[in-house]
Amino acid sequence: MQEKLILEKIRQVRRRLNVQGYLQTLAIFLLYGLIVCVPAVIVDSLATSFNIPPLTFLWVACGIAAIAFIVRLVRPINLLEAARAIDVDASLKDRVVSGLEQIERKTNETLTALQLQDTSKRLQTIPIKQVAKYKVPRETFFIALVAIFLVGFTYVEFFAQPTTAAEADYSAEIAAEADSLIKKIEEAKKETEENEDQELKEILEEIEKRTHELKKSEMTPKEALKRMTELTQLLKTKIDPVKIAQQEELMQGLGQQFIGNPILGEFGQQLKRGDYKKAADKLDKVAKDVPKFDQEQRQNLSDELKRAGKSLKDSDLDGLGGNIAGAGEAMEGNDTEGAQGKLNASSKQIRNFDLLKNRNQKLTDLLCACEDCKACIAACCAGKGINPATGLSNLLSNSPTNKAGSKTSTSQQGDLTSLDSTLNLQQITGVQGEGSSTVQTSKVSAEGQESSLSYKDAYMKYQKLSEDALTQEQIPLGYKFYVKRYFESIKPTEE
Amino acid sequence: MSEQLEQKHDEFRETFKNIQEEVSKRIVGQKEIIEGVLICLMTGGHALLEGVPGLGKTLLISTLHDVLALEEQRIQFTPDLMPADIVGTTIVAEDDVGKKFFEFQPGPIFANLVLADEINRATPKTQSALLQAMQEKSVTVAGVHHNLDLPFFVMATQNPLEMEGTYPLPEAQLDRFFFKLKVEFPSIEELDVVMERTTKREMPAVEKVCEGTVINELEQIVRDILIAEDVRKYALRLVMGTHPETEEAPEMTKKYVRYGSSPRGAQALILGSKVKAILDGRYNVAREDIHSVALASLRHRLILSFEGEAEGIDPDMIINNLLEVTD
Repeated sequence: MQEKLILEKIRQVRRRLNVQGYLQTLAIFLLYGLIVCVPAVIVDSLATSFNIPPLTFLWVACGIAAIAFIVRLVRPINLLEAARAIDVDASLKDRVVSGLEQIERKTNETLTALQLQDTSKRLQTIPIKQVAKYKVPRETFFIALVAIFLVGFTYVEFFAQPTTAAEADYSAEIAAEADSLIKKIEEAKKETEENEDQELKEILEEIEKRTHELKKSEMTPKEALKRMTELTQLLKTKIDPVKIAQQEELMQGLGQQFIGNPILGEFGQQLKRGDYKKAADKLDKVAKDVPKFDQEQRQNLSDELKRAGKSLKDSDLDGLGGNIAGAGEAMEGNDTEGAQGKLNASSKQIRNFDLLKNRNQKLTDLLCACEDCKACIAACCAGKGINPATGLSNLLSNSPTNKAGSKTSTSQQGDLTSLDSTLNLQQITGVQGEGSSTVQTSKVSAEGQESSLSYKDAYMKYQKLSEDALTQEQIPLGYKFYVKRYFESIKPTEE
Repeated sequence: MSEQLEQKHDEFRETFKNIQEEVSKRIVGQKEIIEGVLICLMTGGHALLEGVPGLGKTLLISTLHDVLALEEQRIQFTPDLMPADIVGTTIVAEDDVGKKFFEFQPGPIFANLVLADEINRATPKTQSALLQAMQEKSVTVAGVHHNLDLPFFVMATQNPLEMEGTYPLPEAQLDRFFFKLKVEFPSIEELDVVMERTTKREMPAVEKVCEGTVINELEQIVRDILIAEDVRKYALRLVMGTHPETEEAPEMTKKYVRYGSSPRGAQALILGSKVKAILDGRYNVAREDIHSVALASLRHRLILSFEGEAEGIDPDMIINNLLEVTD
């Protein structure tokens, strides 16, 4: 009887302690989860490129708490711990622990009976609710505190000025930016129709569709930024400026090799100049003229083509190199048709490269336009009061201050040079006379020249590096904004 | 049956309380010392009292003699004291007809209550004469085994101040003392009462509370008290915590202790706690009981390291730290 009473009391306390323990575990790990989310929320709030949905953090914290809860659920407290808790809470001086041990041993000694009697007598007078009280976990206060902080940081931007009711709706500005972007996309589409680039057409239609979605009336700056980020990510996957630049370099190298050749000279010059369409036309003309060439010309042409083909082996233009070398070999074997076929295939590849380069250029321009659009929306989001008609690029300050400005000039890098700086090499054939000749070598530094590579192209090459600098380098939080603004300021503007 | 046992426990408490009250008639204050000495007496152990002279240590023994009607002896330990002066010796005696024979002349150890005053003033050889008596409650003289009367209780004292010319008790001897009790100087109020009582013509009279044989019965009751495995393991964790090489040892023990308590320390801890449990009206030992006797049971069983000695660490500090960190 006494044993039953003691055991029943211990089990009751164990149940209550387990429930309390589950609550406590939930509270502790929810707090831990929220604390873990604090740095992520701050970073998300500062860096507009992340835009993590606010509820994500809540789910992460709840997930951590749920895992801990499950672990705690499979490890309930045992009877001994419950007995110890009663002893401590009710100051029973280990009576219950001793009693439990005597019950488990099942001894029938007189002293054991006395001990159990004493324990049960004392336990009867103690209400279990007082011993194992349900308490609100003390972490609750801190959970509330951290939650308020997180909500504050999630919905209020770090550098944001206080917004007023009038400034709250930015859909008009976003729509204006979207219109500006759509205009550029339409221009690009028109040019695409001339080139008949089906793939580029499809990409442009997709971008146009997404841009149209920005014009929805309920569009918030944050949502617009998120969509713009997705759009720029999509564009980035479609372009590869580094690869195109490498291939273009190879093309120019190929052209350089043919410049001195009397038959392929013009082709080489066009290649070197970067006019691939004309270069392909010239090559087609050479292919057409192959039957007219005499043996010496054929041999000369064969040697040139084979050498040039070999130089492209194992490069990005390996296929083109193979066709050129193949044309040379066919010519050597007097296979006129074979040589013509290979040369035509080469010209087709050059035209394809031209198409690819144009596509890359168009998408790069669009990417820049998207980034500008995103910057304008971000400025709107930060409450900068951007004029939707002019956008960020044409904004002039009406209230000059002695602080650092936040806008940049459109002509910071200056206009691109209109000079065609491509070297136009010409070989002059002649016979050396009998008279003496003089060779003069000037040991001076080369004269300064304008770069033939546009600023935009050069920027595209280093854009990834600048983005990596923002995400990977250890930049103090307070300076991150200024570093980002610097990179935005050196971004080429749309002409 | 259970009523009888309950009655015995009540008798134990009553006897203990009566002895305490009677002793307190002569000894002012020093409640913890009196309780500690009585716990030793009830568990068959011996007590080592450390304190300056004149604090009533001898008076305590003689009062116990009066209260319990037990035979009492006092041995003043000096450097020239010999083992035979304690355990006794065999002398040549003569019977009525003039025939000579060897006769054992028992020493002062043959008493129920022995006060070994200033035990650290005698040489280790003499101190060790107490070893067998304290542990086995018997002595062997000239190859003859002599049992001592029970109860046998040794209360040794040592003066912590005058260390010159003393022989600190060896570890083996210290370990045989159940408790080491520190006798503190009384407060001004207590001292006032002491003066009141001791400067009169007569000492306060005490009554005989019980026979010495009752003590032996009470000892059996103590040993029957229950101790849960959880509580026993706690006591053992405390003892293991005094050993610097064990996992249970806290940082302080590892730093300042060379050797920890022997198993006798654990025995003293548990037996002492059992007495405390009865006095509190319980049939089981609680952690609080262990806490209350931990200092007296363990302080003389710790050997401090060089660092501990150099920094003037008191073993009580180490035990208190152990009680704080062990759960």
